[in-house]
Amino acid sequence: MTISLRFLRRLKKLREFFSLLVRNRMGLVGLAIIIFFLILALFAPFLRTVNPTKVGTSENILLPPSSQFWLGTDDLAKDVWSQIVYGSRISLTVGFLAAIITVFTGSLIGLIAGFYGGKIGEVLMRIVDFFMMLPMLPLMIVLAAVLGPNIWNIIFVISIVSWPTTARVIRSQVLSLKERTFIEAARCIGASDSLLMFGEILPNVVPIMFAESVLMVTEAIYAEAVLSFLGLGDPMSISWGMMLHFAFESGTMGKAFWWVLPPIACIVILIIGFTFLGTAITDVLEPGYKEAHGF
Amino acid sequence: MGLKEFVVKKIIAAIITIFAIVSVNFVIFRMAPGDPVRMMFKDPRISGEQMQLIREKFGLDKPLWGQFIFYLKELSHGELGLSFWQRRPVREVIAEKIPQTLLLVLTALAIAMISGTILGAFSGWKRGTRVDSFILALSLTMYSIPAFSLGIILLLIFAYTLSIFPLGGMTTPASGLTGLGYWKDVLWHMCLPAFSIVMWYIGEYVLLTRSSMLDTLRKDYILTARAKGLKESTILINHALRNALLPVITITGVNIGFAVCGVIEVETVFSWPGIGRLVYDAVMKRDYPLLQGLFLVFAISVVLANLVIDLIYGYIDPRIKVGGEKK
Amino acid sequence: MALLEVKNLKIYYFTRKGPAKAVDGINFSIDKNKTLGLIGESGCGKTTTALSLMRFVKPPGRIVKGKIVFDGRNIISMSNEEIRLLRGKEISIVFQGAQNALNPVMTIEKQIIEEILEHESVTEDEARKRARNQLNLVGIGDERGKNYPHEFSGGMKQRVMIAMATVCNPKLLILDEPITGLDVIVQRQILNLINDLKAKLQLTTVIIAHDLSVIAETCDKVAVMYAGKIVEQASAVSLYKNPMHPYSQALIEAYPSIKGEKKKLKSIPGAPPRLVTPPPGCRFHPRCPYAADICRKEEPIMREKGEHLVACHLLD
Repeated sequence: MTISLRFLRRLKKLREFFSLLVRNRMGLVGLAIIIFFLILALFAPFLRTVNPTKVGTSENILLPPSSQFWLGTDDLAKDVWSQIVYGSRISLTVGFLAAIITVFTGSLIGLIAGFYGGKIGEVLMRIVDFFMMLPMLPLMIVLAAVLGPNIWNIIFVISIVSWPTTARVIRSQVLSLKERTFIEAARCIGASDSLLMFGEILPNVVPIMFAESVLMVTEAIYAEAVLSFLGLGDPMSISWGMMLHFAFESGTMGKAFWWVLPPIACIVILIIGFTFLGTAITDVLEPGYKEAHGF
Repeated sequence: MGLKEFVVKKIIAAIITIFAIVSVNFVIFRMAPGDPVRMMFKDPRISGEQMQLIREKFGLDKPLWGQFIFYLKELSHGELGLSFWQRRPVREVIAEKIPQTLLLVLTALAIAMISGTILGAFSGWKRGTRVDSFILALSLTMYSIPAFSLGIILLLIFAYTLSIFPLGGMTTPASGLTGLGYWKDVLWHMCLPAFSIVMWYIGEYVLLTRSSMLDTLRKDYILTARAKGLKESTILINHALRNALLPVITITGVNIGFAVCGVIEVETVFSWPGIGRLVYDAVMKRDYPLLQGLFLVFAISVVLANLVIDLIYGYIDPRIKVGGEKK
Repeated sequence: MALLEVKNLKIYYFTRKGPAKAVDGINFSIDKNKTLGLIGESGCGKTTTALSLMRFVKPPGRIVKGKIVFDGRNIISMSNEEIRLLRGKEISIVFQGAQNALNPVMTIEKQIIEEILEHESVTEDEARKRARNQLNLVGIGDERGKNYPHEFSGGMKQRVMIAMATVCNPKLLILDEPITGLDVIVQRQILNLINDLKAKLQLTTVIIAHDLSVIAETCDKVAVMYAGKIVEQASAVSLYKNPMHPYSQALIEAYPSIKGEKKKLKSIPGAPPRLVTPPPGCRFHPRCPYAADICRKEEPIMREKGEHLVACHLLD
């Protein structure tokens, strides 16, 4: 009986949260952008595209946009529009997967470190601090170079570098939650450690985890773009970053704007989309938002 | 905790971190595929014996622990191995390029930090006005654009299309300029890359300073200052800024790591001959020793930069300089 | 002769749900060298009133009506610059909770010197001497002027605040909950200090408190506030001996006495009303044990009853 009541209460909170979210203009814009790219990714084959890795004939090299090639062609006569559309799959996949792994690992570590405190907490936090000290891009480059150009390696590398920030954030949230009296109250009635950790603290940490994941997606998309641009991407899957890499390497950047601008635009807009959404979520989660906006 | 203990603590922490970095570096590169000796000396005429000699010279015949000790010994002499690609010591390769990077980075970061802080403080002070909203929107946008994208866009507009700036590099090849002419040429080449770094980095500082300013303005002592009837400018400088800038200084340390990312990207796009560009070349040429050396250089610079900033902060914040409550 | 006269002051906070009438038409005055106490529960409007005397009402709050006449001038109609010149020099305030009220990166000596230099044309050396004198006056040795705020305890920080507020010999000193949050012995010390300074510096003072003992020890006149209105005004002695308004009576009853036989603690049932929709008629009627029909309909007017000013239907 008690369990279902709590569940209903949480459902109501969730509904409140979403209704607040959609009323936030920034969040709406962000969501629209994300949905646009999701559509590109999911419906790629139906959007007037060809196999993006298909090399064309020499007379079709570096053609400007036309009715046949919506965004022109690159230096191997590959259709740029197809590359853009299929590229969204890479960005979104890498973005989501890396973010999920990062937040999952980081939250677990942060939860344990914050909840148990003491020696375990200290040790874990030292490790976290150490990782945070390492410069991210060089570390990613080094790992990617050593492990080889493969999309799973990219995802792994991004996650390895990003989890410390999440761990920090989650841990400080857990610490402040620990101080709150409802934890003391639960302990008084004899709640066990794992019940406390997963039953009481975790649900309160979930909103922050959600906000963090959105932020992590932007980092992941950025990281994938940079690594691909530097030539560490998976040559089998054409991502926007790889497009820029080839454009840069070919030396034709100055002439073929249609090859260079679309990938950049997509990267930037997608990142902005997730940033807006993330900002909206943190706004809505901030205490006092409801009152200030008259809810 | 007084200042001396603070300093000692920080230095020890830095040393431990550097040691950990060195170890991590070693471990990562042992994962590298391929036999390093074979990579470097591709001539099939080298006999097995000669290969063995070479292995011994580089300590590659020892077990893992032995290799680690060997690595540390070499490191203590400043030896970073041999570059596959350039066939000479890595430290030479890196040392040649460091000055160019420093020139670019120090200039750009200084501009970005100072103007970013001023803009951010101004924005926070004038919260809610149109100027504030504008600065905020601009900074959030800049923050979302990866450094290399920004670089490419600038390159396309100002170099390729408008031809105001050169297409890359640090100097005009075979120009034979010297003295002032030479430096003017360098400056001209430095404009776009520096501008890219500034634009990319400034967003962070504006947002940071602004939010720190907003936090500070909410504090009680600002109301006290008003109650004392002080002029607005006095309150802004002596009370608001002096406190708002403290967290900004702290974060600068953390941000040095970001600056490294920007440097690598921008130097690559503009072919600026520094260690950032070297990373790109090393990746393209699969030159693992060079990459390893570069990683070490970057990581240790970040640790040292952080140390310097921590020490500066310790000196500036009286809560650390002077210690706790006395009755 | 009245140094400060407040006439029909109304301060509203404009929220989305409508205006919260934090201060709704109050009148009081203070004569030179006298001390007025403002007492009431949390949220009754006393701090808002105190802040408004220095024009510190922040949006969404606004002074909607009324006059605050200080030394013959209306504070409400002054320009920003004019009021800035008054602050710290003619009117000073000591806020409650001095914990974070001092700039952590400036020595306390400097913070006092800063104030002196702003209002008076003296050299820095003279200012330093005066600052040190002031520190001695409030019981902090002048050698501690070089220390930073975090090196002081709560009570000492409060003394610093008092030193800063009085260094330019203001005509009016406002103290908002001056001893709340300090431990008992320190409270006694600060109260003594306040009384001491009042005499030495010939201060006119307004003290805001919710603690009766503070008011009893320091004030000549007392105004009791409830839900944005003043319900009773009298001399301190007279109020204690003979509280007329039911709320004043309840307040005094609620204060436990260490003397006499042990009694059950009396509290006032209910809670203060929401100021966006205050109760009709007398605002205290929902909690008043003597509430009559007329109390629910009409607002009582402030009338003279002997030496008191009371707003209660039951006394008419």
